[in-house]
Amino acid sequence: MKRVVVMVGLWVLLLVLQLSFLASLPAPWLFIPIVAAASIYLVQHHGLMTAAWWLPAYGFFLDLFHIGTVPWETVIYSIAGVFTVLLARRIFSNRSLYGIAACGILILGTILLLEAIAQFWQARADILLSDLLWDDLWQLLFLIITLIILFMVAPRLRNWIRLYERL
Amino acid sequence: MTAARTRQRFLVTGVAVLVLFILLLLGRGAIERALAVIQRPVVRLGTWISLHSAGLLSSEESLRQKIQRLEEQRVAWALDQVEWQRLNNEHTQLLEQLEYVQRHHFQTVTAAIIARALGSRQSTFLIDRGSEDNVTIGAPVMTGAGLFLGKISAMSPRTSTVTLLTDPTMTTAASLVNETRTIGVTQGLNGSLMTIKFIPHDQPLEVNNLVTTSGLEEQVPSGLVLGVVNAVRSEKNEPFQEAIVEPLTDIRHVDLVTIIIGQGL
Repeated sequence: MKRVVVMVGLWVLLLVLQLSFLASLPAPWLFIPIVAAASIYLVQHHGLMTAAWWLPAYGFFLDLFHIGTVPWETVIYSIAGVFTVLLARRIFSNRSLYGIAACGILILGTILLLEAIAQFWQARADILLSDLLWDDLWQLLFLIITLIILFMVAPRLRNWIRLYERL
Repeated sequence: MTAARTRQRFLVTGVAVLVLFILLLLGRGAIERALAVIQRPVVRLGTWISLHSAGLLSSEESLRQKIQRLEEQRVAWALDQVEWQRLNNEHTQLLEQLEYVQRHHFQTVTAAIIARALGSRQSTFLIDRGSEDNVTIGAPVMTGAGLFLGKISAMSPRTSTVTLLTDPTMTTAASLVNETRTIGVTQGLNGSLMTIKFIPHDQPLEVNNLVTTSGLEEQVPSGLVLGVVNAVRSEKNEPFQEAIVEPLTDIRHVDLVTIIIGQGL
């Protein structure tokens, strides 16, 4: 139970950081995908599978408050959550920097692709493809940077994760 | 740690997340209130950073171009100001003659921004006022200075989602501040600009024209400032001309907004 409380608390913290703080910063800083990066990092690099739930929960929050790009963010982020577990376990099981970066790019790429398909399906033809790509590239770039930073501080974080495992 | 134990933990967390979803749906009001307490100062901090870092990431060339454009606009507006002053004096006299006490009387509520989702794909933000504060779907949202920001697109008892004018899905009945008060429709473009469409070729459309709401839309009064025309596209073989409209405010620099919940004469 304590672990669940910690996980939910961390998710709320990341949520506020993403939607209230980072989203208030000027471009391109607002494109830092902190929730996705943290979830992918914990699942792939530390084998903390429960962090994969942050993604569908984030999608659900976006849908609940109607601030998602498309109305089916729960579905999109749930697919991403399943993908995270599968990729981390079956394909990118090597916990190297390349492994985590490739895993992250594939997962965020999937989210962005599904959102773009959903948007075009909604006939939002006025969205310029160049602008979409621009935002997406920034998100992917910031994801890699965030994952590299997290990878560099991994030894310190490992102590915290050990504490969490003992709960 | 065995695989079975990991699986068990994963499932337990899954159940907990499901419970959380249900709690979020049932106890939404209380959770929203609790979250808003944390979100308000965090948004304020982000806005402060955004305000104080404006221009840090721009290149020297783009800043020079921006200054030049602003100086040209200033000259144009100075000239407009003179004309406006003359018209305003005339208008004041007419109002006095008609014994109007007040032209507009809006009932408003002030709200704080608690979350944002900005980008080319969408431009929305969440505020801490909802149906309990008499907010309705479609109600116009503006800055304290009266610049139109967007409309309420979804709400709960305690929060509302505002879709900005620059969101690609947002259309607004608009009118140009020119001699003929040309009427058109603005549509959001790439999350930071708007286009104004369906302007016939015989209507004057020029750079630096102010664009305001036309009042032809339910709940949205006329005269709220949407932005300023910064480029015109006029092809002779097309039935209408269109223009790019730049909003006069950056939502990242705003953390408090005003919602018009009713209007009288």
